[in-house]
Amino acid sequence: MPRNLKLTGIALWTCLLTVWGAALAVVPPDQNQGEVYRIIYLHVPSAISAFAASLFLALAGGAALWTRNEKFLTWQRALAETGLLMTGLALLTGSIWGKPTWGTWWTWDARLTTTFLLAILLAGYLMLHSALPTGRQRLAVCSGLSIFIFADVPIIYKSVTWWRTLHQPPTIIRSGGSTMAPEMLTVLIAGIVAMIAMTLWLAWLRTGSIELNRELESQTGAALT
Amino acid sequence: MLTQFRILFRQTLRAEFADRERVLSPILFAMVILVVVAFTFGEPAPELRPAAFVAQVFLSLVLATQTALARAFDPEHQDRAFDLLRAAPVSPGAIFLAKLAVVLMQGATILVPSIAISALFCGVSLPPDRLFAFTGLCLLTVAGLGSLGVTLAAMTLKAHARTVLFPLLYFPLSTPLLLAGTQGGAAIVAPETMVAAATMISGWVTVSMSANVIFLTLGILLFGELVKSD
Repeated sequence: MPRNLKLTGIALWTCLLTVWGAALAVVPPDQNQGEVYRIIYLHVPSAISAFAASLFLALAGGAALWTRNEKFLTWQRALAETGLLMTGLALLTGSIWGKPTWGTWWTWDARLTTTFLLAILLAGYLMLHSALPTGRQRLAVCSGLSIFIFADVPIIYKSVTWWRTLHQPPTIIRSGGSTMAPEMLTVLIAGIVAMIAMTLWLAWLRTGSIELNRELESQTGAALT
Repeated sequence: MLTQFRILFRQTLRAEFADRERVLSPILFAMVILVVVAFTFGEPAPELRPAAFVAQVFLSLVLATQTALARAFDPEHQDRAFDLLRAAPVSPGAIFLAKLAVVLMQGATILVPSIAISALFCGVSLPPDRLFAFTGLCLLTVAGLGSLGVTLAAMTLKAHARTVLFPLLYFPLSTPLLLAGTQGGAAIVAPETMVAAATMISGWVTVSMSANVIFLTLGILLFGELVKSD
């Protein structure tokens, strides 16, 4: 692992562990939900990181179409994988939070369903990437799909305002200001920033092995992933 | 581009209608879905009839158009038409629009009997203004599904496991169109007056039109890249 990648990783893990430590030990419990609400410091950052990964995926797609540089396709694959990881984490933590608060692990709520669709789309992207032969057409097809996938993100975000759902409406970005206490909000925003940075770092880390794989593919002429 | 579109549209239409099975099978599939749903759920309760009608129409429409769209480029692929077109000075946008126009015609041929049969099975009778509004919204959904489906069909043309990948991408990506179609359609068909539901209907039409614009623009812009050879 390159030295700058390793140092960035250590710094990011330190930030993230500090935020989680503060979320567990410093921030007060919620008035209604008590201690169980603390899962938001993992749930919300992972959900927003999944959206951010979709945005970066679309940007990498646009850049790949513009420049025809295979490096952006490598970044796309890495971002789709980390985006899928973050979407899975958001669904898992949401499910764990849902059991004590809603009384169920899963419900076909608008926000949950649209987030699940994002996971399917990211998995679909990875499958399509693997199913196409290497070359210029794979770059064009995957880049095009990455832009399409991002179209799902505004729907997920707006789903809680378009439908009456079990999921709570936006509490951070809303007209009239956030409904969260300032000390809770500060830690949450720090967690979101750290998690987005972690998503990008994981994608950066992954690009190395994808590049290696791609070199092997070009030598053997067959898809390995 | 308009002349190219006209020529390609005529050519695509001729190729499509040369094989009767390609035209008839999605329509028959839509009818089978309607019969199976009606047989399974029986006659809905009076208060559920409008919602059941909308659900049946969109279910048959989406599944039947999916079967038509998944094989949209099969004739071109079999005849290696793209390889020949690449050598000719034809705009990829014109090829995309010609295929989309044919898909829209197919969608309309699925839609009309679907609405009639669903109304019959659900015991729904719509006044002309609601019927036109509902048909218009359905056509808007078909247009969006067509743009998305034609682009995805081009994307998955050379992929292994194409039959699995196409629906895996098509159904999640069609979410905005389906939501706008079903929610807007339910508002049109609901017993309330059209004026009372106007805000809700216009909101869903805006969502559908936005999705249409996004899918059509991306389709036209990307299509040329998708069919280029390595």
